[in-house]
Amino acid sequence: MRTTVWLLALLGASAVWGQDPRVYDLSGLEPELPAWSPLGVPRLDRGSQGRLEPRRSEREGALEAVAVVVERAAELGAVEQSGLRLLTTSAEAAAVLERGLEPLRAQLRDLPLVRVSLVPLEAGEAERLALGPLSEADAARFAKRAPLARLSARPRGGWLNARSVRGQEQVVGYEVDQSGAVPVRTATLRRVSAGCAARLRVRRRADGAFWVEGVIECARPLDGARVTFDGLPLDLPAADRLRVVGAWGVPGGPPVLLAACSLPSPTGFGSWGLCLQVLAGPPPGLGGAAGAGPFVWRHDVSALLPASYAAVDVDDPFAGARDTRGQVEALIEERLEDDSRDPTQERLAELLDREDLPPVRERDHDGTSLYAAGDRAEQLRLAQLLASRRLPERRLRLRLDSEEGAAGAVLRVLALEGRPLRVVLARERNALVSSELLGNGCGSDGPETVAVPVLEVVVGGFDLRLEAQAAEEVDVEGALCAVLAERPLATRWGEFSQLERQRLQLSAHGVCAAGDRVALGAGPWAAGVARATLEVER
Amino acid sequence: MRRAIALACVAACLSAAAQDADPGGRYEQRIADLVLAPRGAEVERVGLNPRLHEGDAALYFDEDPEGLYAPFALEVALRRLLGFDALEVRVDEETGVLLARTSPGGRGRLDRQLAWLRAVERQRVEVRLRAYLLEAWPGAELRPGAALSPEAARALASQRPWAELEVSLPDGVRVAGVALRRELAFLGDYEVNQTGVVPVLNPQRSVFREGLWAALRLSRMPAEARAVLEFDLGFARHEGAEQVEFRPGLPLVLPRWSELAAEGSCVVTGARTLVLAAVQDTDGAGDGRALVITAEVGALPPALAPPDEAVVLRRYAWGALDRPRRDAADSGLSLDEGGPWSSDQRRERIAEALPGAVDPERWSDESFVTQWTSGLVVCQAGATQRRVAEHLQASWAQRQRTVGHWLQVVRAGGEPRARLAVAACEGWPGSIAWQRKQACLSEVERSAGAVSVRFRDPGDDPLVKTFAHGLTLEVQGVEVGGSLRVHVDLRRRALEAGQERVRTPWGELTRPVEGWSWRVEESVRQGRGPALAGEVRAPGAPTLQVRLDSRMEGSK
Repeated sequence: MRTTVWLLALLGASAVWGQDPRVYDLSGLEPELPAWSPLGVPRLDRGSQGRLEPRRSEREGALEAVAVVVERAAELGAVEQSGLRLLTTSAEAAAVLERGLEPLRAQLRDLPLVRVSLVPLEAGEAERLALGPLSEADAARFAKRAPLARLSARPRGGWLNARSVRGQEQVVGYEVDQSGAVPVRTATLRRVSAGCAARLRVRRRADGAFWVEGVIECARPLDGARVTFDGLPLDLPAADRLRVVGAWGVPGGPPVLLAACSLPSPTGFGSWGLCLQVLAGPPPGLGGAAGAGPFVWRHDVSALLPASYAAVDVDDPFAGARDTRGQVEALIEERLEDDSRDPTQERLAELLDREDLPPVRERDHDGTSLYAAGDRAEQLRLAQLLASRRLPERRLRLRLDSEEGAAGAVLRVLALEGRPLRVVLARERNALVSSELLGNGCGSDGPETVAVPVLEVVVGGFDLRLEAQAAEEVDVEGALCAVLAERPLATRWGEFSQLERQRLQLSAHGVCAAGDRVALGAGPWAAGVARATLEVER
Repeated sequence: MRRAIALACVAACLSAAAQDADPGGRYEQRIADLVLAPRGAEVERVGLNPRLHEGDAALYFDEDPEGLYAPFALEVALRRLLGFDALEVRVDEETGVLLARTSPGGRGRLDRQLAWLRAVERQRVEVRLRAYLLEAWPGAELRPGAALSPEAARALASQRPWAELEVSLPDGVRVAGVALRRELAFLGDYEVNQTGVVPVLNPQRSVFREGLWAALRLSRMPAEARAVLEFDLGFARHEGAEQVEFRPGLPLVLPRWSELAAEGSCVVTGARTLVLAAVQDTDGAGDGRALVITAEVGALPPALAPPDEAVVLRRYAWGALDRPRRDAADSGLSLDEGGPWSSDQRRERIAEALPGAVDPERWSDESFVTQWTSGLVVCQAGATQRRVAEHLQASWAQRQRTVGHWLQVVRAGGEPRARLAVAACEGWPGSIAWQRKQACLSEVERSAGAVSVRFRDPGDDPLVKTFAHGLTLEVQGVEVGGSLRVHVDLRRRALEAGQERVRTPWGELTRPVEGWSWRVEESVRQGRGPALAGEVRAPGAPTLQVRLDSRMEGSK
């Protein structure tokens, strides 16, 4: 109310003085990020993971862009700001705002359509199909198949944050409220969701392709169990989960096969191919930015940045749920202060210096954008130059064979040099492994305690982190996990699961040229011995 | 403020870029494979709750995983190598990126240097460790530290290894790995939480990791096609569990297991399979099976010869030059008559003496000697490097031969009750500890709540302890005047009478009854015969005969 009165007063004063006041609304430039709701088996230890923040604040970035424009405008005339509204009576400042804000709006307005699909593969396809853009024939065949999971959405503010839920199940769990004199146990309903979810940052490159990075997750529910805990029913849900975290350069148009997998046993999703398609979106180059005179344009430099600037941390894709903004800011500050050791800054500076390009105003707060002020020709040249610095693709193939000669599993992935990739394919379920007695706080008479179940997510499957570096250097680590046996142990609270598990550690580090095969590890697996190898495809 | 910093940084970059054009361009290469420890290089040990026992440091190795070259040290070395040709040389410790500003000639030298280092580091040796559980002791042909005899090789080839582990070893750098057969989680204890008004008893889960763990380091001799393989082995096997009811509805699972810990070293000369350690236990609860751990060592790749005139960095692994960290000076076994130096002092002395000892006229600003964690680094032309290698080999190389130690404990007139075998380089200690362990509910501790306004409802906290019995052998051998002088420390702890169940008001507890134990610590000189043979008597216990055979394998 006070803001409105203030603006009206300013407008009135302007009218009295005979000037032409202009008001600019910035609200559309501030993308809101919806919450991320994980699929599959709920994890009690990640109770707060319902919200996944981006690793770098996109919102901050957008506002920084506006700040650059406003700063330029303010040099020419008075600009007042109130909340997300700007007001100026200066024609020169208004022209700058006009030219500066409209391109930014255009960048947020022309949203591409992103489709993610997990497609069942026929025998031999996981080995045969080329990773990367699918041929027309393959794309047509894929289109006819019923996908295992699918979603399509338009990213807002550069971020796609969508989920396509095919089924939801409510399961019973328990929590304890200890805030009162007596602890109280309450039943809670936890949700098991199946379907597809994606959290991707999609940026258009000047060459027409898209820079896509983030998490794709697919889940399929399995029959869970219901046990008795302390005389109460307790659900132990189960689900298959596929999670891929990484970055890719995706040409707009046909679907791109990011990963393909074939498993001999009907576990997980069987044989599948993970496709990503980006359609429409802003036109290549500078999109809607037009007109004469200089303007500020946001250029994406994600591909030039070290992996630590990735949208989502592959080592801990849910870090955002626990991350605090202060930590992120501190990291950025540290990098800015210690700029002399940042190879990206040096690389950019070298590029700009050599090519006689427009002055860089600032790298924005999210660390992935470069704001340049210049005319259309200059901006276009910078955009093309940055787009030419794309990361080369590497195709990696992991094989798991048994020494007894049984058919093995194959996982093939498309990776970018310098960008780590993580693939988790697991059958997960909750197991009741222990209990915890919680008492009341001090100062009460009653020695009441209540028990809460301690659940563990039992995982069988693999978790791989792959990183292809320049100079043919490959870095792979991960593990295969299997649950061999589960023995019940009767206690006064119910039957606890005693788990016997197998884990095969996989790792390879060093130089690996195209066509090379390296051993990742070997060890006891099921009834025999398994041997894992990594091959860099030609 | 942030904007000001950012603008200043961009300006600084632009200014740096302007400088760049003058003396040469920016050089950037990711060399993480050379300077950073591989991700996940540290692997968890085997046994019961290994996370709780991180303090058990290995005898020979630092625990932290390391890269091939220390980033800072390589940075300094490359800066010195380029001399005035470089404005700047930096290695980022986080990303492993090398950044330099130097002339086109300097960039070419960096390219050649890094290509050389990578070519050297590709010369890795594959080692496959196998643990066999055999029904019977393989016989006299099983000689620790020596290549397997054809008979022993055939006998083992027909067996399926209990655990198998493959590691790829660079020169002089520790690599660890684990072959985990299974991981068992069970309810192993209860713990009383006393922070509330009433004590609360909560179940505690334990984890047992069954398998073979190993940390290995292979160090090549400077000028010979031989290497020293140092090993630190851990073996743990779950042998069952007892389930007891601590209180109604409060079960406890008490596991039994066997453990082997062996540390030693041996000289390897080429592709062959060696026995590193072995044990057989027919004593008490032992099932009589023999555990044999072998190493199939791949061929040593031929040492790369640098071009005569090219100045290159070369690393000489400390593992081939170091003296025993723990020599048996008290027993007259010291190999080095030059004085009791520490390893650091010895390393310094080697580094300081080198320029005066090899081609003194060829040391300049760009050639130098420096010490790194994994080895002595020399920057010199190829021809001088060859003479450096020969000098180090002749003057400083240690550990030329392996001594195989084989110990038997025999009840008078009876069958062997235990056998232990371990390999260690001449002058270096070897150790092997074989233990059978059992978790027992041995005590109950009463605990009250934290707020003691009214003492009520004390909680009973079961104390679960691990009891162990077995043999520990530490041994060291060196040839003096044609005879093998051996220092041995053998300890035995036995639960001869087993366990005693004690009924108490708090329930049935288990008390171990320690039958007898003894320790032998002797330094003896032997010729070709047994190093040590004697009787060990203890009050109330049968007399045991102990016989230690130590045998030198290979020649100097």
